[in-house]
Amino acid sequence: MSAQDASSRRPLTPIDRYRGSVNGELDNDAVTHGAARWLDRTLRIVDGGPRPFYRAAVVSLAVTSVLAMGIAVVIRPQGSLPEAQRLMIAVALAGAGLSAILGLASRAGAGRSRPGTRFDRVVAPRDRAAIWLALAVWFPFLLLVVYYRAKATFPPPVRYLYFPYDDKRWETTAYLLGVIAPAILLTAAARVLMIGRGKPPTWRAWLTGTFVGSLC
Amino acid sequence: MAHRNVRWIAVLTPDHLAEEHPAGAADGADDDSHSGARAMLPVVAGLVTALGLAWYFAGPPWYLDKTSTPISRQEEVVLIGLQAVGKGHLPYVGVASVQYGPGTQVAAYWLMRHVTSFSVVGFREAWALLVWAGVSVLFAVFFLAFGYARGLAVSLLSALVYPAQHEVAFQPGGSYDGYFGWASPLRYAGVVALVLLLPAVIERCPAWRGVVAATAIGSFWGLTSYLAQENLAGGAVGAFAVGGLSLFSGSAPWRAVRAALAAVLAGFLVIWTPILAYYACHGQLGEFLRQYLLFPKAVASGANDTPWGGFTHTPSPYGHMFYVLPFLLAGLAVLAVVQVRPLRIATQWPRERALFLVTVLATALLYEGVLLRSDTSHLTGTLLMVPALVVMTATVLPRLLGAERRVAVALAGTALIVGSFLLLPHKAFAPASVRSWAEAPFLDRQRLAALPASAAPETLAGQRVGAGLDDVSLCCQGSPVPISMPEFVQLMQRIHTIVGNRAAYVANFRGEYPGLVYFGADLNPAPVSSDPYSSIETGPELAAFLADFRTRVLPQTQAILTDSLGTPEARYFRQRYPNARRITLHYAGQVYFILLRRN
Repeated sequence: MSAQDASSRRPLTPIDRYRGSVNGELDNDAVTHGAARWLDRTLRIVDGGPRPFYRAAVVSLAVTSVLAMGIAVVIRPQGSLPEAQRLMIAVALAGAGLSAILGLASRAGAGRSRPGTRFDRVVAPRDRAAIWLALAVWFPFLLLVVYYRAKATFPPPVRYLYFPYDDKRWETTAYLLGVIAPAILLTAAARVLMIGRGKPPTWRAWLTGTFVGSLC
Repeated sequence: MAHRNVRWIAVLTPDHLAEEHPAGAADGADDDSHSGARAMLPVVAGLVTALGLAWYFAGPPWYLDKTSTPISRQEEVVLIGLQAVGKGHLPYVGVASVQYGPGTQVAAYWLMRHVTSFSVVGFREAWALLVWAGVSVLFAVFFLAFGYARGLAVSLLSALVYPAQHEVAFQPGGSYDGYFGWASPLRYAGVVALVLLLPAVIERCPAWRGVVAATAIGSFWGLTSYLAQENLAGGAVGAFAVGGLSLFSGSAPWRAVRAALAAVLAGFLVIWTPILAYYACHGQLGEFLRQYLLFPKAVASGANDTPWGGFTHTPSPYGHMFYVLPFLLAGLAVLAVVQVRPLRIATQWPRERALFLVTVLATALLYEGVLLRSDTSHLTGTLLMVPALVVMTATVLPRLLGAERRVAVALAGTALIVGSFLLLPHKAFAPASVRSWAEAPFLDRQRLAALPASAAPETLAGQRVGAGLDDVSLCCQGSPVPISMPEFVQLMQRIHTIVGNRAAYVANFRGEYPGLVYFGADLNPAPVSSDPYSSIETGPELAAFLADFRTRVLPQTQAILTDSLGTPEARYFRQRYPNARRITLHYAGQVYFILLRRN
């Protein structure tokens, strides 16, 4: 069966495909109704421009900040709170505050349609969506840095005979997340959204499209 | 199924597929307009130039028998393994263990046995051969990846301005010298070659030429991972990152990436399967893998790691480089994946963009190592790639940022190169310094060639040190008091005469590593579980080593050498063999004991 609706030449949505399945037009391995509904909803979000992804990034930042505070409080040596933990809590509080401000700003601007604004000409909406999506995925990885920084405040687990000891896992994690991860996440987010805008008929098709590339 | 799922991709909006023309399209046109021979000409010229430059800066003759540098502690660390292999022990495990790569030990041993000589001088010559091979590979990769002009610029910058290749090199006004036993471009060449050449290989996959090239690169990566552990993790992360970025950017089809990565893995296994099988046949596979991963795991979890300049914060002229480079890399990595005017995430990357990104990626991967043990020596791995980063940034970034006019591109590129020098100490790019590094290989060779040849040493200990080094005024860098090499050789000869071919254990030696005594006196090392100075890191591991020494090793040990009878090994020996003969020698104003078991 063609993946396109012949009458309108528009791509089939998952719900269209599900309906086709009910009418006996598709194979038995067609997607289930629930999955199709979720896919349909996700694809509408993809089509909805950068705003949902901006909100996702704000929520991601808020959740990451809260979890970071939790990690800093829980993972620490006995005694008073070390300086590193206090600093992490302060930064996490700033992150939570920033996410609250951004969330309120988003809510205040909701409903206002601003097509063709100057900002759109600088960064196209679909690229803004990719950037926000990449950020939404990137923020939780920062918890690894928080975790390792908190672990670094513990004394060495064993006595090293000849070597100095300095637990720098948090530095290498922060470095990799800061230098290599953004390029990969930006590219991957753009790819995922681009494939999503092509209306993949199934989740699997979306995943396949993300990896298959340009059909060579 | 895959085809059914991807059919719908054809309805994607065309502008996504035509943002930039991929390199492959341009290649087709090139192939049509150039004959195969003409296309090969720049490649051959590049390789010849690369090998010529590598020979001039790092190749023979080195005249190492005319170098008076004392034996360094770094050399002593590796000498015990070489001596143990020479006495028939399995390489890299047990008493032959070292914390560095197994392949380097085997290669150095083989070269010393068959090409140079089994002496300290011979080890330095073997090391010089490895350094020469590393420089040759690096220069060849630069020419292959970046083309002739940029490859030449990168190679010359590496050799003349940046310090990484000066670690072991012809020193201005001196001789071929440096950090033998530690500094070698081969420690990082696998990462550089794999990451820089992989995009071109993916471009040609899954055609057979691409697969063959990927297998060759994978084999080289496998070989260099055998030589040094640094190449393993960096190469693996780099290969997956390049593959993922090629896929997600739409620059390469899945089949090409899959074929390239599979071929790289196959090439890697071609090298590693026989190695692992060899150790499995000897029942030492677990011990081999434990030893191979011991140091990388410990370093990753904090052992041996320091802040920049160590805990004493020793000043370094490369502080700017250490602190600024990661932020530059972060910015460049993002700039590599976006387009400007308008700002958008780039897809369908042309070759230049892909090359720029992998250059940033390779530099970033090498930099990670210096984040752990942060000092100037460990920055040298990164500095092997920084010249490439500078040249690629200067030649690619202006266009990526939207510059179109040639003048603007040239001015921006020049500004970037000049700006990059801000990260270096001034003396590194001062004309006098550049000239001295350029002239050093020629002038050093000329001067050293005019010196009279050294006579062959007469004693075995003298031969172990090597012709020319056996009569220098200072023996060893770690000595608490200055000791001449003849004095040291005399002691080693005496020890050899006393101990002979007995299974011996050297507990310590006056500020030096025991490897110096094993090697200098040609001792037969007792079969300990590992070298305690190289492969024992923690208190519990030392306790386990001593327990094994007491129960398993002592019955097989016939002599103990120590500067104190209070060391645990000496006490165990005397408890087990109360009638052991004690011989007291004198060295550097102190006593040195040999305990001999009576039969």
